[in-house]
Amino acid sequence: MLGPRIAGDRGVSLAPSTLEDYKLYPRWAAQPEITYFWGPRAGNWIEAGAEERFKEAAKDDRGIHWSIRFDDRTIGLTGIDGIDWIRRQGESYIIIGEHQLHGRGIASEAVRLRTRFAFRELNLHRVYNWIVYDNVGSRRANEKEGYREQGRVPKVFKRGLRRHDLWLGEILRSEWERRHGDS
Amino acid sequence: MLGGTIRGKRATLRTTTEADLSDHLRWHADGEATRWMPRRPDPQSLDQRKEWLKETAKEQGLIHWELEADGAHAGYCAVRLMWPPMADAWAIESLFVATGVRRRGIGGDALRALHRYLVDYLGLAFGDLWLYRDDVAGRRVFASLGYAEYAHGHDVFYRDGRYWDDWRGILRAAEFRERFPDELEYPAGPTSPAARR
Repeated sequence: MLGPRIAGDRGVSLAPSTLEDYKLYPRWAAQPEITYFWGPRAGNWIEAGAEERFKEAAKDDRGIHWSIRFDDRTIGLTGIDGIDWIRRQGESYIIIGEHQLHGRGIASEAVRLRTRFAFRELNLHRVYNWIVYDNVGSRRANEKEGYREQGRVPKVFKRGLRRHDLWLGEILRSEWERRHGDS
Repeated sequence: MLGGTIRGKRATLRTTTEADLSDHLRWHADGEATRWMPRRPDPQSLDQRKEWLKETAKEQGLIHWELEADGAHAGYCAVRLMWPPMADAWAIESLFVATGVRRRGIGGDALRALHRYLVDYLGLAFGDLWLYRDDVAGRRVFASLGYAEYAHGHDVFYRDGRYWDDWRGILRAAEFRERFPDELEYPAGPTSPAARR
C-alpha cells in the first residue's frame, strides 16, 4: 500500500508515491555515491520495470511505501517492508537519491515521520532494519529516532577487498512512546 | 530449487516429491510440532502445498530438501542463498524434524551434512541463523556446528499470548572447516567407476 501525505519539518514531507517517482529510481540507483552501501549498482532499469515495481508497491498488503519530498520535489523513497501483522513488525528502508542532499537531516526527518506513523497509525510493535555499519548517515538517522543496535555481523558486506560490518537495528513502540509521551 | 542427495551418517537429504506433501500437511497441522520455527508454516490444503512445491522448485535463491532416516521420511530443511554478489552466504530458512524421531541425533547429523555441502561444495563464506532465544535444543545443535551469537532482537516472535526474543547467529566457513576437517564432499574430486578399477 501507499502511505498517506505526512507533513514534516524543514521542508520535508512524505507523500504517496507515484509512477513518476518510481521512474526516478534507476537514475538514483545508478550513482556510485548512492549505492556503495547496498545494491550491486545494476538492475532491471527499463521503464516497464519501474511500472511493475510501482504496481507491486501499491497493491502490497505487507508493506507501506512513500516518496520523500523536499522543496516540493521527490528526492527519495522510504517505507516498511515485509510487515507481519501478527507479530506486528516490519523492516524499514530509505533512499535519498540525490547525493548533494545527503547530510542535511532529510533522512532523519523522514525516519521520524515514518516511525511515528508505524506506531501511532499502523499500530506496529517493532520496526527493524539492516544497515551497513559504515553507512553513518543512514545509521545515525535511525539512531536519532531511537533505533538501537541489536547486533552487528562483522565484516560480511564486501566491496572489492573491503569488508564492512552489518548493523541490525530495532525500535520497540514501548520505548518510542516513553521518549515521545503525548506528543 | 529442490536440492539433490546429501548423505550424512544417519540422515540423508534428498529431493522433494509430491508424495512427501501429505506428511508436510500432517506435520503443519500440529501446532506443537512447529512452535519453535521462526517462520512457522500454516496448515494448508494438498492443492496449496502442490503449488508451494512448484514455486519452491522455481525459486532461484532457495534450496529445499526432505530428510530421510532409517528408510522413513523424517522432516525437511531449506537454506536461502544470501545477496549475491554482495556476499557469498547462506541463511537457514527451515529445519523441521518429525516429532516421532526427535532427540535421536537425526537433526544434528542432517545439519552437519548440509553444512558440508554449503561450505565444501558450494564454497560459501558464512551462514546466518535465526532462532527463538528460548529454543534451547535448536541453539544447542547449531552451537555444536560452530554458530556464535551476533544479535539479540527483542519481542520478535508472537505466540501463546506473548512476545518472544530472538537469537541470531553466524557461522564462518573457516570455523566449520576447523571443527570438521574431515567433512569433505569429495576429498579429491569424484572418482569415476572406471578409474577405480
